[in-house]
Amino acid sequence: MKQIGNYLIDTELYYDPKNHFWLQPNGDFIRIGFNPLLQETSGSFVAILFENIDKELSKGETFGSVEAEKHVAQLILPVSGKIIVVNDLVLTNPRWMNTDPYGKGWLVELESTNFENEKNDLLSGEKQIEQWIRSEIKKYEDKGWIARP
Amino acid sequence: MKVPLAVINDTPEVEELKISPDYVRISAASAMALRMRSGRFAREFDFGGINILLNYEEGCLSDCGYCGLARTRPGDYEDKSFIRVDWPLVSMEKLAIRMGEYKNKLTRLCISQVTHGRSHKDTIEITKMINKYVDTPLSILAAPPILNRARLQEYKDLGVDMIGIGLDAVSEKVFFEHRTNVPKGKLKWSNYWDIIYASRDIFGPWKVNIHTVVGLGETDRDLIDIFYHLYQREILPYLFSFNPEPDSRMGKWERSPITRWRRIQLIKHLIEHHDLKREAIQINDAGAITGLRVDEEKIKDVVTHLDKGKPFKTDGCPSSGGEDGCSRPYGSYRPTDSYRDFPFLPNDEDIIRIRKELNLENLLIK
Repeated sequence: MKQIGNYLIDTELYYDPKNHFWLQPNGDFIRIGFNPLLQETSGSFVAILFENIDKELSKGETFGSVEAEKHVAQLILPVSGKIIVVNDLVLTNPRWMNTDPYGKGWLVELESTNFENEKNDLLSGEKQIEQWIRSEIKKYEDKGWIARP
Repeated sequence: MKVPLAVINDTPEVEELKISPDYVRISAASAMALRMRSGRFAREFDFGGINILLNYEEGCLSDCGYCGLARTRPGDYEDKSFIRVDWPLVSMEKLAIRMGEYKNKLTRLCISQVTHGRSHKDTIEITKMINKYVDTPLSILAAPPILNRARLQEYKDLGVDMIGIGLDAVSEKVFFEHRTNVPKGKLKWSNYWDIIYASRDIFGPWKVNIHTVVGLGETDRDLIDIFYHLYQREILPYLFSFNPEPDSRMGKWERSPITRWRRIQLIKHLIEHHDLKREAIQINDAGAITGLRVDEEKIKDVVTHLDKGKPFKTDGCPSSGGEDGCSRPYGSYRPTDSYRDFPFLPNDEDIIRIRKELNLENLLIK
């Protein structure tokens, strides 16, 4: 874990720069969750809905939606594969996505079908991740999505 | 061997009570606008209406069946949601300073009272503090059980320009059913109306607004009657859509169907801006609207062209320039729902959806 701005970021994972997911591969299986910057700037999550479970999905297809107090967003798959497990904890208590985004707040596990090729579109390595997170923090601050002290 | 004596502090640590006037709650949207909390809106738009809620350890002494702050709703007051979302607790001084920093962005401020013995005194203190930092128009959403004419006049003298009254229930029957049990009384239909009329006298025409909630068990006739009653007295009805607060006494009530809600929005707008006559609204014996005798072209014009969806915007107090100043985004619906009231002008896609929801063809009598 590395402190980047006010965020504790796990720099050993992969990151989807478009949708702010982290990805943790384990063989062909990948666990996916929101990164801390995304969770904070979404506000408190109140509901999550998973769709297209157990179906072969391509990268970019939707696998559900997430709702915060004042915000709603579609869940866009960062890599191709079949979602085989969803995290029941976030279904019953969506706040886990806010309070423990790398732990109990993970979203789904999928069996990937093209990770070796698609991982090139993901970010990895401390330097690349830190650079990206810092630029995203700046962007979100400019949009007014991050609280000031 | 000597055993050290236990150290006893002379003054045991007492947890500071974070209550008004030193502390207040603000809506989640207000906290986001002032960057006191991180977050974003589902659609981006300018937002500058800041809602401030008084905060007491005992909470609100009223016990309204639909309200998240109701005295008998389960849970600690601190953890209770209000209109379904958290209201962050903030230092009033810090809030006033922050509002000063963002004053160019602010359009309307509102202090919401709760039924509590200190509400009036603390409203005065908070108003004075706000006045030091900003000159944004200020409303008070008043709690009639703690008010009288003299107190209303004090607000006016301090520069408050509008008074809101959360009547909510639009008939005495509905009021009695859902708004009872205040320990020291005064939460009475007649008392609310006394304060409404006193506010009208003191603040003047179109400076008093009455919150009217659709979906508490009232009939359409009740709503229409109160709209005409208020307009005749130059008082503004503000529409709210009932949205069940989990664990409240009405937590499992159904919301008003969207078609009913849209029609009420439209008819209220026609009464307010297009002089819709009472006799044009056809109502059955059960009190439900069954038809509207208005030229169809005129309605189409109102909905799609003339007002560009204005009837469906949030009712709220104006900014200093007379524009909409308070829009309470996602206050009575979830971000995944159809916008019950829009904090901005609905776009073309929204209008198509609204037209479907209105089901005008079944409403108009040719």
